[in-house]
This record gives sequence, structure tokens and C-alpha cells, in this order.
Amino acid sequence: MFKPTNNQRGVTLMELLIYLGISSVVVLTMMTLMANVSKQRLQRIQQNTAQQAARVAVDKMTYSIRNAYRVDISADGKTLDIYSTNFADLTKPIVTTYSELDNQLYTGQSLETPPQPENLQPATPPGVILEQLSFREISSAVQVSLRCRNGARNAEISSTISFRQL
Amino acid sequence: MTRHNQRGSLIIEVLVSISMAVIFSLAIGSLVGVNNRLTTVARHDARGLSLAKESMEQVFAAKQQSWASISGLGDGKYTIIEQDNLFQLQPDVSPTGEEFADGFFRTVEVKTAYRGADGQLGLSGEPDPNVRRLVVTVTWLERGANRDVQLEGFITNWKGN
Repeated sequence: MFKPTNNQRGVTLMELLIYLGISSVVVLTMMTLMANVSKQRLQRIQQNTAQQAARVAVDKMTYSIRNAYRVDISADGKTLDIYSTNFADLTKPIVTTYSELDNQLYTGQSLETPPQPENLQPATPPGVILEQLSFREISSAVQVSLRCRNGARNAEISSTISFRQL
Repeated sequence: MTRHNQRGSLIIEVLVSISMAVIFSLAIGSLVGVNNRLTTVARHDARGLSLAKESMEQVFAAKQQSWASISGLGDGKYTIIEQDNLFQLQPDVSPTGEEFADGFFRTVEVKTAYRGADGQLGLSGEPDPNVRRLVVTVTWLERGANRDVQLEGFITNWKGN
């Protein structure tokens, strides 16, 4: 238990100043640490979002490309038309398009001919910027290279996806 | 509570507390070091695996384009090159495999595939001219030790061309 003390001296000015000095150093250190942790947390979230967006985009493309019998790539390498067999009507192939528009990835699907630009839907989440997108056809494969940015962080994926051809 | 002990601390007490503080700091420091090392190892593992998958995919693409580009190859090690918008396999003469990404080496082996009496693909039986066994190995140095990832699969002439 707390015992009453006879020491009535209080604290000297020097003791008070030392206490204030030490406590402000400790508080400043803790605040810097907290600020760093919070900054790193934000960057990790941004990195994860960018990575997730890039991975989902490449997964969607892989799904579409795998069964293609033909692909068309625009001259600038930023639009990919994927032709795959439509078993409901063999004369009308399914055409899936992936294209970059205003730093976003857009995709759409139609029969026989590539979908019109106004029928394309965004394939990257809002807030994620598609910084770079390029398609290249090599042998029976499409080489996809894309970079997504979210805030200060970006994620890059480069992948070769083979397709079956005719 | 009034304290009458005016002796202060002995030098040995100070030394003990300093050494304890040093030991704790070193323990925490080494923990951070181990964590960083494990993160690097995991990152290299993921990169090695993705490079191996990429190489398998490149051989698949060459095969889909033309089975003749694979069927004419004898058993052995090859490198994958890009020429005229085509993936092509060329004999690999280097002993360590080809360095194809910063610090990562790749070996692509094409082997005969055998079909057993039960019709299943395997390591023994009759050679099947329409199937080849593909083994891709990616190796890299991790703190002086070799690490590798190996992927294996069959490639078939399913289109019959």
C-alpha cells in the first residue's frame, strides 16, 4: 500500500526539465513509428490492390485465350481480339476483345465480329490505373505484358499464354 | 516512501543491465534479419516457379504452332529462342543451362515418352512418336547454395499434324 511520505521537497526545475525532455523524445519516437507503420500499411494495401487487379486481368485473358483458334492484335499492340469456336453455331465464332482505353482495361464479347467500343466494359477496378498494356503473338501464344498502378504502388505481370489454334 | 539507500548502482549491476539490453537488441535484430531472408527466399521461389511455367508455356506454344518443331528433336537439353515471331528450340551446350533472367538459369530437356502395355504414358514401354516428355529446370543461387524448381509434363501431337 501507498505510505505517506515526509519528503515535502517536490521536484526541482531541473528534474522537471529532464522529465519533459525525455518524455518528448519518447513521444516523438512513438509518433514517428506510428506514422511509418500507417504509411507502410497504406502502401501494402495499394500494392495488394494493384497486384490483385493485374492478376485478375491476366487470369481473365488466360481463360479467353486458351481456347482461341485465332487472335488478332492491333498494330499498336494494345487491342486483342480472340476468336474461339461457338459450338451453338459453328459459322459464328465468339470474339472476345481486350483493349486499353483511357488508362483502363476494357473487355467485351460478341458473335462473328469484334464488339463495338461502346459495348466494352471495364475490367480493372475503379482507382486502378492501367499504366502499360501490350500484346504480342509468338508461335501459338500471346505474350501479355501489363502494369497496374494504385496510388504510389504498381504491379507488373508478363505472361505467355498458349492457345490451341486450328 | 523515504529511501535511505544512497549507494547508487554498482558497476556490475550497470554492466549486467547493459549486457542484457544488448542481448535483447541482438535477438530482436536477428529476428528481423531472419524474417527478411525468408521473404527474399519466398520471392525467389515464386519467381523461379513463374519462370519455369513461362518456359513450359513457350514450348507448348511452339508445339501448337507445329509439331514438327518438336518431333524432330533428339533427347537432350535445349534453349528457347525467339525468331521470326516463333519460339524455337536450339541445342543447349552450356553446362549450367542458359541464364535467361537476372541470376536464374534454365534447362529445357526433351525426352522420349514411352507408352506401356496398358496404353498409359510412363517411363517404360514402347516409344510414342506423337508424345515427348518435357522437363524444365530453373536454378538460382540463394546465399551460396543452389536452389531449383523443376516442372515436368508431356507434350502431345493431339492435332495430328
